[in-house]
Amino acid sequence: MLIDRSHRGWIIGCLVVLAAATAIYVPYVRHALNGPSGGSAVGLTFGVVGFALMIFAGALGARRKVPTWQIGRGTFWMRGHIWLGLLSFPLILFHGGFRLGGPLTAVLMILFGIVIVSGILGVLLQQVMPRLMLTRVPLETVYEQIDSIVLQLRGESDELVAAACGPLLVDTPPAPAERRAGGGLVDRVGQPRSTPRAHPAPLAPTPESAVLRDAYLTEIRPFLDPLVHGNGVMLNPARAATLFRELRTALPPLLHNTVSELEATCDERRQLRDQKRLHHWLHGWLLVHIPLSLALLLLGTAHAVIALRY
Amino acid sequence: MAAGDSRYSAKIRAKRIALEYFKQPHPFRRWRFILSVAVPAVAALWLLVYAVRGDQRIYNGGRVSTAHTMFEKDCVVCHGPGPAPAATMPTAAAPATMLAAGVGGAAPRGYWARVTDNACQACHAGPRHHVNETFQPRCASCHREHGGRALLVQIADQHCAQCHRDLKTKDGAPPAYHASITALRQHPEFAVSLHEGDKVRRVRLDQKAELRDTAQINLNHAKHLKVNLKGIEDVEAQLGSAHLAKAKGGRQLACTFCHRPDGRGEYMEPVAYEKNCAVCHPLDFDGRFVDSAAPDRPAVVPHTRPGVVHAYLRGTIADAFDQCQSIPAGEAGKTLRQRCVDLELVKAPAEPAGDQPRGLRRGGGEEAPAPAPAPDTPRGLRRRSSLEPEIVLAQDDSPRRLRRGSDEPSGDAATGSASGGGAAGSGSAGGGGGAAWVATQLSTIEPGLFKQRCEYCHTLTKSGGAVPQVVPTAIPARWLPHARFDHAPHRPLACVECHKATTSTETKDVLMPAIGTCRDCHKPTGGARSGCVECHRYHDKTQERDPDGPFKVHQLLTGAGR
Repeated sequence: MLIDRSHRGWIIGCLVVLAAATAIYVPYVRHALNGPSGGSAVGLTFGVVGFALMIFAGALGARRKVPTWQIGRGTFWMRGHIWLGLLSFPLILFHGGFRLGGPLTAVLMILFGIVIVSGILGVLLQQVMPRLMLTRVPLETVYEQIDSIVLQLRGESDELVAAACGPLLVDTPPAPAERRAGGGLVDRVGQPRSTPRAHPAPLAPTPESAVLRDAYLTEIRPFLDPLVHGNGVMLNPARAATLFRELRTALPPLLHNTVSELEATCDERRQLRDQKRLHHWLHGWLLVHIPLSLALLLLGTAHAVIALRY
Repeated sequence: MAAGDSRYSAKIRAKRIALEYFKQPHPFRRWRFILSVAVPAVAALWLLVYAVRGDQRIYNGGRVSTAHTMFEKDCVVCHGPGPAPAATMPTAAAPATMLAAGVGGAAPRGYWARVTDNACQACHAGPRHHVNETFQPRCASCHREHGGRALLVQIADQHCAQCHRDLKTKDGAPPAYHASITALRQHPEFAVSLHEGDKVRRVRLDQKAELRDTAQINLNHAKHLKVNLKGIEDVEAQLGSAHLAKAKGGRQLACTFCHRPDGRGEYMEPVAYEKNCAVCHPLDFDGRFVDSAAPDRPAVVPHTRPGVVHAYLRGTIADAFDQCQSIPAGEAGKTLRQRCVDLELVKAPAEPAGDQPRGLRRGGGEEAPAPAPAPDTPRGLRRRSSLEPEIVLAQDDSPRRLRRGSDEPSGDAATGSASGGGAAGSGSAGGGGGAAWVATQLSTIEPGLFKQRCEYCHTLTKSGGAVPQVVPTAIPARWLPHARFDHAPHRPLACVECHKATTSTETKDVLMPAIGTCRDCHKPTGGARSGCVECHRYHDKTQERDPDGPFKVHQLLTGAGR
């Protein structure tokens, strides 16, 4: 979520609450006989309020799991999640008197710190990464479908090169039987094609096409694997452009269109790879933020139950 | 169709996407789910393992103090109602000033389990601070647990200042102590307790006119700390140099020669004659009398009450008389014979003058020159008075016995001549003469002893009887009884830094340091600790419980039956 003017009210509200809490905390610390304590009336109040805000922040996940809950708009929950969750951290610090305390409270504070830091990181990434993705990945697609699309691209490229150079004699796994947008599994008369690329018409093989076949099998096709690794030629746009330029030089003009198609496919593959990497940055923090938040709420509840008793 | 081709639109690309892709497993979503289950599960397992083990340490807000480590696994031991004192504590063990049960710490109700005073008092008496105090805090309000391995007695000054900022008493009477103290900087000058008869008066160290040590003992600190004090070689020869200090120009007695720390090193043991004085100031009285347990040493009177000294003297003199009545013949009795000759109980045989023992009357009735007395020192006690009457009761070794406990001779002594024969004079004359001799010796030696030995340090009074009485020394065991002091941490300091003994020449000098001396080091900032509890204790430890607690070991460890 972008932090924009619409957050001003939340920010001001949280700052006001934080200032009020600080105004209570400072004299409390100065006059407390035994220093700040989570068990004192003031400390307990900070703890209760802070934990309530943590629960509210955690409720965002629950609301997302049950989208039919029409309790406020999604943006309201997200803004509340960000700002109230952030506000809960100083309140909990006030609750604990800036001490880690015992084993459970120490674990809680460490978890809370990681959750807050990962959340802040997530918010910052949300400000940067979508724009970055917009400029660097014009062919952005659904993240979960990237591997499937890469396979599609490889299959189409195989057909393209086979049409120009003859059969490639490579193992091509059968495409999964999935229903895709824009049509069914088979072409129907009068309906749009179910695949975005038309099946290429076979060309008469020429001796020079062996160059294309070699380049495809050694450099291009491995790059069209979903699990591409290393730092091959195709990973570098400049080196890839050089390769394709050399191919155009070596191949007759009849095959230049095929080379261009392959170059465009590789460019799309590179974008999808960038999208995947950016997506991992954009959402990877959630692998830390969400599990630790759940653990935090669980342990926080245990702490509250036991601490209130004793 | 090239990627940059406008015909390769989003709509076209959308055809690559499976319609139900979100239903298929995906590593990112799968890992998010796995971690979202696993991490909380690990957290829950952590709690569960501790719960199964019955270990509640993870819930502690901090480590408990060292003394309570044994209870840290079980919160209820302290966070519970605690036993009723009457049920668990022997009546004799419960001091009268113990905090009333449950004062300030209501018994837990329902779900809530606060720490109650009863729980603390199961082990600690927690005697009341002052009978006239207006405010009695809960145990846990001052002694904060879960603060780490700290001492629970390290209480912040604010706790004391709750009352001592504006001290009031329950009965409204003016407080006996300074009415407003919140920190060391506001502490008034120390007040020492001076004994005046049966009364004890507190005098502040800055009240110079009234400040006077009332102890009945004569002591000159400065003289004892003189460099190369007379007799210091003897001290070193007898006791070694452990408590002698090197000084410019020689050696001197260290303060620790007399002032030895007690077993805990907190205070100094009372100065005792036998340990600290006897080596320089022996209570010998006449070189002719020997210690019955060690005949080669001169007799010394015990350092005790004058009546006992009198009895000892009389017994020693009578012993000497008895021994001289049965001197073994020959070489075996030579030493005894010589002593008896010295005592003039036996006539000396004709011997070369050079072998004459000291004090022996020489032939021809001339008195041997006695060693010159040294009137300035106790050692100068003369061996024998020149006024001592000459009584020679025996010219031979005839046995006679002097009856003890009476000035009258015993029957044996009275008939000694008949049984032993050969004694000079008659038996009755001998017995009566023995008693007279003892009385004469006693009357001669005793006044000198009391005058030159006892009165050298003590004040004696004559109250009608023959034996004087020693005025009790009344040396204070504690000068500042309302505070506590630990000499052990102050060991790096020279004693005279605080106690100005080198300039003290009179007993009346009070050598306690003023509070300013303490403040040189004890400062709130950048100095030694300056909290109230450094010197003062809240609880009246004289009212602490007897060392016979109410619990068995398993009860203490597990809380069972508490």
